[in-house]
Amino acid sequence: MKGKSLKEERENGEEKVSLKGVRGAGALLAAAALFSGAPLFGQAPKSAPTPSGVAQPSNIDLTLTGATGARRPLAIPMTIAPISPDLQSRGVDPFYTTLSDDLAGSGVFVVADPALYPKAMRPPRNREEGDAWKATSAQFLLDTHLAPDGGNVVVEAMLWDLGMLKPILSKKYSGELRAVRRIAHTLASDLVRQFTGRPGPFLTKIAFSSDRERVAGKHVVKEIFTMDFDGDNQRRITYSNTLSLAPDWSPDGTKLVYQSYEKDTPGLWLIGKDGTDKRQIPVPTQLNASPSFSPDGKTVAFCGSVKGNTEIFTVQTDGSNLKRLTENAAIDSTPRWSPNGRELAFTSNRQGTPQIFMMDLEGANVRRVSLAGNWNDEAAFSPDGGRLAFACRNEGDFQICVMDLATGRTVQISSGTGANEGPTWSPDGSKIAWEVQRGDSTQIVVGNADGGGTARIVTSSGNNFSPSWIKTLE
Amino acid sequence: MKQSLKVVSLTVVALAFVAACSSKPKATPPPAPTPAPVSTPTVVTVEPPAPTPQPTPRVDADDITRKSLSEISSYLKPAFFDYDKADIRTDARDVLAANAAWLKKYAGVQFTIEGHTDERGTAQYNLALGDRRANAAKDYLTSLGVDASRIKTVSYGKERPFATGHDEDSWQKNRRAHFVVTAK
Repeated sequence: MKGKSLKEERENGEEKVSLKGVRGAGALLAAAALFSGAPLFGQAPKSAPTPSGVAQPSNIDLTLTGATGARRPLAIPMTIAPISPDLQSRGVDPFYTTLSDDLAGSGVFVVADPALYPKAMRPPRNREEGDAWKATSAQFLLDTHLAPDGGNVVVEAMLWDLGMLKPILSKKYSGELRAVRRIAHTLASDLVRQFTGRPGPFLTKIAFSSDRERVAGKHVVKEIFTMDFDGDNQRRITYSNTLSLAPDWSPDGTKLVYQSYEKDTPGLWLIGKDGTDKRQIPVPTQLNASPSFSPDGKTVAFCGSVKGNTEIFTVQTDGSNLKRLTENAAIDSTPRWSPNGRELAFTSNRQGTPQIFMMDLEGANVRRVSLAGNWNDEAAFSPDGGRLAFACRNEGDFQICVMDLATGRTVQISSGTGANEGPTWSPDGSKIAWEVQRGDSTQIVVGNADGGGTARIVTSSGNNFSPSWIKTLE
Repeated sequence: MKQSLKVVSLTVVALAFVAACSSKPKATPPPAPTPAPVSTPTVVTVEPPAPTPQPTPRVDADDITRKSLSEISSYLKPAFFDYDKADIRTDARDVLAANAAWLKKYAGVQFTIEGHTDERGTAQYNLALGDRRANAAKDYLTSLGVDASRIKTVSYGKERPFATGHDEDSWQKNRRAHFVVTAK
C-alpha cells in the first residue's frame, strides 16, 4: 500500500465498501459522483449576493476570504501494520482514510501530497531524513502503527516536528476492530486539540430528516435519522410514517425536538437519541414548525399559527408557560435561540422580503440583522454566539452566508448551482453542515465555517434535509 | 343549455327514484347507468308528487352519497397563488366562489384546506407561507358564508409537491390551497 496516493486509497475504499454494501466513505464518493459536472463548494473566491432594494452599509464586505492562514502542513504516510488482507481491508484502510479525511478537513492542517512521500524513513532518524520529509512541504509527520492485540487492535501514533526533529505528541489507543473509525476520529480530535486547545468535532453526530423510506406512489414520508458527522453510522430514530421534520438536539445531546404530522396535524415532539421516550409537547397552536431548544434545555421556541397568522412562541418542554413573542401581521418563522439564552433570531417578511431579525425573550428590542439580498432565512448562531450562518439569496440560488455579528461582515461559504439551505454549526464552531438541492437530489454537506477547503457530501440514500449538529463536543 | 341540463338531471333522478323504490331484490345487477337519456319524452311525465309538498330531492347530477371522498374532493378546485404571496388572486376568487356555492349545497361536507408552496423558498419559511395560504382560502370561504367549523387547515409547505419539475409551470401548480373532503 505504501507509495499509493491518497486518491488511490480512497478508490480502494470505495470498491471495498460497495462490495460489502456498507455505508461509509464509499457512499460519500458515490454521492459526490452524482453531482459531478457541477463545481463543488467553497473553492474559488466568489462574490456573495449583492444588495437589491436595500441600501448596503459600508461595513458589509461580501467577498469570500477562503481559508484562514496558519494551517500546519502535515504528512500522513500510510499506517504500518502486519501484512494481512483482512486486517488491511477491515482495519488499516478505514482507519487511514478516516484519519486523513478528518485532518484534511480540520482547518488546522493541510495534508502534503502522499505521492511525494519518501519510502520508509519513519520516524526520521537524522536531519537528512527529516529534510526528505520536509521536501514534501510538510512541517509535521504523523507516524501511525496498527496491530492486532487479542480480539482488539492497538493503534500507536506519534506526531513529529520535522524542524526540531523530535516527537511532540505520542498516543496509544485500543479497541475492537470494528471501532477503528472511532479510534481514527479520536486521534484526529486529539491532534486538533494539540494545536488549538480544544478537541476537533470528529466524534460528534448530526440529526436530519430523510425521505429514504418513501414508498413509490405514496405520499412523501420523512423520518428523523442520526449519523456521525462524516455520514457514517446512519440510524433511523422515528417511525412516524408521516412527515417528521426539522430536528434540533437538546443541549445535552440526549434527545431531539422535531415537528411531526403524527395525529394528522403538525405538532412538536420530543424523542430520545436512541428512539425511546417519544412524547408530544402539547400546544394549542397550529403549524408548530421549526422547534429550537433553549440553551438550558427547558424551553422550546417554535413557529406557531393562530388564526392564520404565524408567530414565534416559546413553551416549556412539558407544554406549560406558552408565551407569544411576536405580534405582527407578517409571517414570522424559524426561531433560533442564541447560545447565551437571552435572544432569538427569526425570519420575518414584515419589511417586504423574508429577512433575519433578532429580539429578546420578551419579544422586545426587535432589530433587523440581514441587510443585503432579497431572501435571508434559517439563521443559526455559532456556538460562541459571535457569528450567524443563514441561507442567503439575491438572484439565483440560496447560498450559505456567515455574518460576524459584531461587524456585520458577511462571507458566502457555498458556491455553485443548487439551493443551499438549513445551516447548522459543529459544536467547536469550525464547521457548518447544510442541505444542498441539485436537480432532484437533496443531500447534506459538511464544510468549513470559514469557507476554506471543499465541502463534502455525507449522505446519499434518498433525499436528506434539515441537519442539526449535536451541541456537545464529547 | 341550462334547460337541457336540467332535463338530463331530472331523468337521472327519475331513474334513480324508480330503482330505489323497487322492493324486489333483483337477481341480476341493475343495468349500468346509460350515458345519456335517450327517451327525452318520458322526462315530461315526471312531476313532484302533489299531495306531499315536502322539499323536492335535490336536483343535481352529483349524488355525493355514492361517491368516494377523493371523488368529491375533486369537485373542489384548488386556488392558486403568486410567488411568496398568500393573497387571493382574481382567478382564485372565482374558483373559491364556485367551491363555496357547492359547499353550501352540501352542508354535511367537512373538509381540509392544505396550503402548499413551490420549492424556491426555504423549507421552514414555506411551512409558514403554506399556513397563510390555507387560512387565506378558509377566510375567503367563510366570508362567502361557508361555516368555519367545517374547515380544517394544514400546511405542507414544499413537502408534498403536486408537480415535481423545477420550472415555473410546476411551481405554479404547487402554489395552491388544495381541498380534501374528509366527511360527507
